[in-house]
Amino acid sequence: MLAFDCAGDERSVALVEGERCVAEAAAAGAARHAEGLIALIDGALAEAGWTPASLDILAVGAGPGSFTGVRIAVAAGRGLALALDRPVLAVDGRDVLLARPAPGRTTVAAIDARRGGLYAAWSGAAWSGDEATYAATALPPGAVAARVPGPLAVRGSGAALLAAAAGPRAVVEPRHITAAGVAEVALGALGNGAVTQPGTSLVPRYLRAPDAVPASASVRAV
Amino acid sequence: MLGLETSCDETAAALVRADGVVVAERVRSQLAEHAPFGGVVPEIAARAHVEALDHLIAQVMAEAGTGFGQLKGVAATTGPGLIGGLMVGAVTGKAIALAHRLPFWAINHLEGHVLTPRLVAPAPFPYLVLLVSGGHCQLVLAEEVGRYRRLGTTIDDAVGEAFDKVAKLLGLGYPGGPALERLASAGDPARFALPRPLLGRPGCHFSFSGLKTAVLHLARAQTGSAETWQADLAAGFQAAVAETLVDRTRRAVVLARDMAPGLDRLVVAGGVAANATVRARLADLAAAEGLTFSAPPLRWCGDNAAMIAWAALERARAGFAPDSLEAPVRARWPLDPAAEPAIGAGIKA
Repeated sequence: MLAFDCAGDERSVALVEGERCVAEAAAAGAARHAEGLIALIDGALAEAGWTPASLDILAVGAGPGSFTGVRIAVAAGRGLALALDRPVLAVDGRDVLLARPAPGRTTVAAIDARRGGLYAAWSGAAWSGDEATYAATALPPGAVAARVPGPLAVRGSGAALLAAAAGPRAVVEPRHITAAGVAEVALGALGNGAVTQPGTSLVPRYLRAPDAVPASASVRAV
Repeated sequence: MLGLETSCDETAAALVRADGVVVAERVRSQLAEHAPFGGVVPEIAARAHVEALDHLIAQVMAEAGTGFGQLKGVAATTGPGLIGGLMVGAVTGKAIALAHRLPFWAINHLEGHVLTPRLVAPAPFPYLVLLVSGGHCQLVLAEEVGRYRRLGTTIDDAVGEAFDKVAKLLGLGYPGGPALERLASAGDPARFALPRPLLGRPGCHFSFSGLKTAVLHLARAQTGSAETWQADLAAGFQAAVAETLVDRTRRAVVLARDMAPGLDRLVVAGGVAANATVRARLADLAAAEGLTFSAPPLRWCGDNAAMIAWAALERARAGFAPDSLEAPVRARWPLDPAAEPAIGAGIKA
C-alpha cells in the first residue's frame, strides 16, 4: 500500500506491507507540495526497493485542510490510480487524528480551517468512522467546545484554538496527520469491510465553497 | 507523447505522435462553471480541473488504444497561468510519469502556442507570432525551439480580456468575445470615434484599457434603445482593436527583420485568432509585407493539450532534457527571460 497526505503544512508518504511500514518520508512547507509530493513518493519507493507496479492500493489523505494541499493529494491519487490501474481508499484526516483515542477523555480532532474555524470530529459512538456524520463544514471553536462535554483530549492543527475555547477541561495532545496514520486508518477500514474505489471517485473534502460571488450580486468593475 | 493543459479554464488531454499526428484529443471547457461569475474564478477552475482531467486522459488513451507503458513521455503545462489549475496538471502528469518511469516535460503554455504552426504544417524558423488570447497579448520572434524574443506585450489588459470586458458592459454575458463579434457583424464601425491606443507610437507594446474606458463612456452616454447603437459600438471597438494589432505587428515585422533577415512568416495564435476581422486584417498585413500568413485551425487557437504534447516533442527533438519530477509550477513564466517587463503589465506578461 502507498499512503500519502499533504492537506496541512507537511507532505508525507508511507509504504506499508501487511501492517509493517517499510518506508516513510516527509517534508515541510505547503508552498512546495506540488513540486515535492511525487518526488517524495519516488524517494520512498527507492528506499523500499519497490517499483510503482508493485503497489496494490493507494490510501489518500483527502482532507479537510488547505484547498490546494487537498487537491494536490487527490490529483496525485487519481493520476497514479489511472496510470497503475489500482483502486484507492480516501481517508479523512480527522479519522487519522482520532485513531487510538485517549483513555478517560473525549478525543477531539480539530483541523485549523482558517478564519477562526475548525474542521472537527470527536470520538464516541455517534461519530466513529462514519464520515457522513462529521460536521460537513467549518465550525467556530466555541461551538465545538459547547457540543462536546467533559474532559477533552484535542489533537490536530486546530488543537490550540479549541483548547483556548474549551478552557482547563481540554488537554492538547501532540498528534498530527501523517501518511503512516493515513495507512493505519485505511488498513483498519479495510479490516472492517470497507471497499476500495476507482481513482475517479476520489474527491477533495474541501468542506467549504469557493469565495466567489455571482456577477449579478457583485460590484461590476470594468 | 501525452499532453495535459490546465492553466486557465479549459481542461485538456491529447496524444500526439512524434511526426505531428494528433492521435486523440479532448478539451473540456469550464464556461458553464464560470459564467455566473462573469469571469474565471481561480478556485472554481482548480476544482473543475481535478475532477475532469483523469477522465479526459482515460478517453484519449482508450481512443488511441494505447497503454501508459507505451508512451514516450508525459508533458504538462506548468506555467504561466492560474496556479491552482497548473498544480493539478503538473501533479497528475508527474504521477503518470512516475507510475511508468516516463520522462516528464514541464511545458511553458506560451511555447505551446508559439510552436503550434509547426504542428499544423512545416513552418521553418524564424517566424513572427502574434499571440492574442484572454490572458496574453504578445509579439514573439521564434528563432528556434527554446529561443524566443518578446518584441512587445500588453501594458494593461490582454486583448481577449478587453473583448470580454467590453462584451460584459454591453450585457452580452461571458465569455463575450464571440458574442461581441456576432453583434459587431451587423454594426457600422465608423459611427463612433474610438481611440487607437499607442497607434503610431514607437515600439510594439499594446494597451487596451483606454479603449475599453472610451467604450464605457460612449455606452453610458447613449439614450436610445440598445438596438440603435450597440452593434455600431461593438463594430467600432472591434475595428479599433484590429487596427491596433495591425499597427503594432507592422512595427514588430520591421524589428524582427532586423534580427532575423530571413523572416518570411507571420503567425497568429491564441483564442482571439478565432475573430474573423482580426484574422482578415492580419492576413492583409502579411500580404502587404510579403510574408506567408499562418493561422492554426480554430481548435488549436484556444487552449488545448495537443500543443503541449507537441512542444515537448519539439524540445526532445531539439536536444533538451526532460524535466525533474520536482519541476516547479509558475504563475509567471516569461518566454523570453531577457525581455524587460512592460510597465504596468499584469501577471501574465
